[in-house]
Amino acid sequence: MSFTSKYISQAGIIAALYAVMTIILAPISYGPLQVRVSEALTVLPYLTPAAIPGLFLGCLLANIYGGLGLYDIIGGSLITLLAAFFTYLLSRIKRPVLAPLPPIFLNAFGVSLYLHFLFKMPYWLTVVYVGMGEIVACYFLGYPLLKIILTRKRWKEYF
Amino acid sequence: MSIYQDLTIGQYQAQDSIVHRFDPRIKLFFVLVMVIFVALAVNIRLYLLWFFLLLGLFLLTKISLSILLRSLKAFILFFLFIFLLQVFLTSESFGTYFYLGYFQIGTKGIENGIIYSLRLLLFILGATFLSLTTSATELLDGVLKLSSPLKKLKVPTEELSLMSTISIRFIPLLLEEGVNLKKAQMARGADFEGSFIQRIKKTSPLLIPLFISSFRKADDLAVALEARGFQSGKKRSSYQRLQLKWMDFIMAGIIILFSFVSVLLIL
Repeated sequence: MSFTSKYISQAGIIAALYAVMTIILAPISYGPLQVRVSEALTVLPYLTPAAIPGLFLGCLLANIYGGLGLYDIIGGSLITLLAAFFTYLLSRIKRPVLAPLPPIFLNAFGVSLYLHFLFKMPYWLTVVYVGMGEIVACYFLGYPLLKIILTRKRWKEYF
Repeated sequence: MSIYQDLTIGQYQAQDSIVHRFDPRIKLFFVLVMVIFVALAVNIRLYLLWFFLLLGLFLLTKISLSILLRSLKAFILFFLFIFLLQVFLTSESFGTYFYLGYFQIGTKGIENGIIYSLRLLLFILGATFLSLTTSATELLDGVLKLSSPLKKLKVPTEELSLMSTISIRFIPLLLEEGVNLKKAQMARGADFEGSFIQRIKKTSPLLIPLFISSFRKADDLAVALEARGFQSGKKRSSYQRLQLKWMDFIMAGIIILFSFVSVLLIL
């Protein structure tokens, strides 16, 4: 498989953006009661496939920095990868409003699953908490961001 | 400078210690083995065993323990949450217990609370140990070497490594830009205060310019890559190669010994 230089540099920079946003807002970015503002970036695969590896690596870096260690590093990052891939697939149906759905659902149900098994946290309660955090990040921030970018012709050239 | 000091990724502490000189693959292997044992077993003696090994390694790093405690501080609420959940929600069938309103509180709940908090502590300490003693580049190098068998499954490990190097390089730049943008927007009268939801919504005047300038940077970077003759899919060499030294083998021996003792403890 070969990639263009643009794909690689975009992916690298999206990863950096994700990590920076998670780390700046560290106190609310980790743990069960988290609102990861950086999850707003999960709408990006709607614009460019480079965001799929970008978000994966960004999540990996952010979780190496903080988080629950190996579980978050592997589990959390793989969930992000999968969600990014689904968002990318959704971009074919031209409905930006659907773009934040995969990260919300996959994180709410997936992250809660390993939190439940490792720390015996009540599953449905955790689903609600994680899901709410994701909804706030994705629909209050990510979706408006996506809509703004889609309406600006000059910005669309970057993708 | 002081703004960024707490924010550097990986919180790597450069020191000249034996632990810093270990091969990153060995350190990754250690954390991996520890996490697997800790996740599989609910056994307080096993947790303490690995805890003391971790503590011993920390003492060898010459890094002050206050740095360690600082990184744990962010998780205090999480610890409390897990501990109290166990204390309140474990139902006792034996042992001593009493009722506090609707909840049953007893020795079993407290014991579970300690066990699950200890498990969380070990997970966090493992990751902190890695990031304090291994620079991000070394760590990535190690991860990629360990994941090279994935290349057979058509996973583009080399491209992923280049992407991660780019992102590590750009993290401090973007941090600086974020801080500058915040100041610029505040000078124009932006206000980042308000309720929780409001504050999240108000990050967009910060986010959008940061976003656009990042993509502009990515465009420039792509041109720079092309200009230097970058081609994806070609075999690349690296300036620093990882090589196992004798102390890495000793550490591997210690890990295997501890794993053996852990298996005995589980049985």
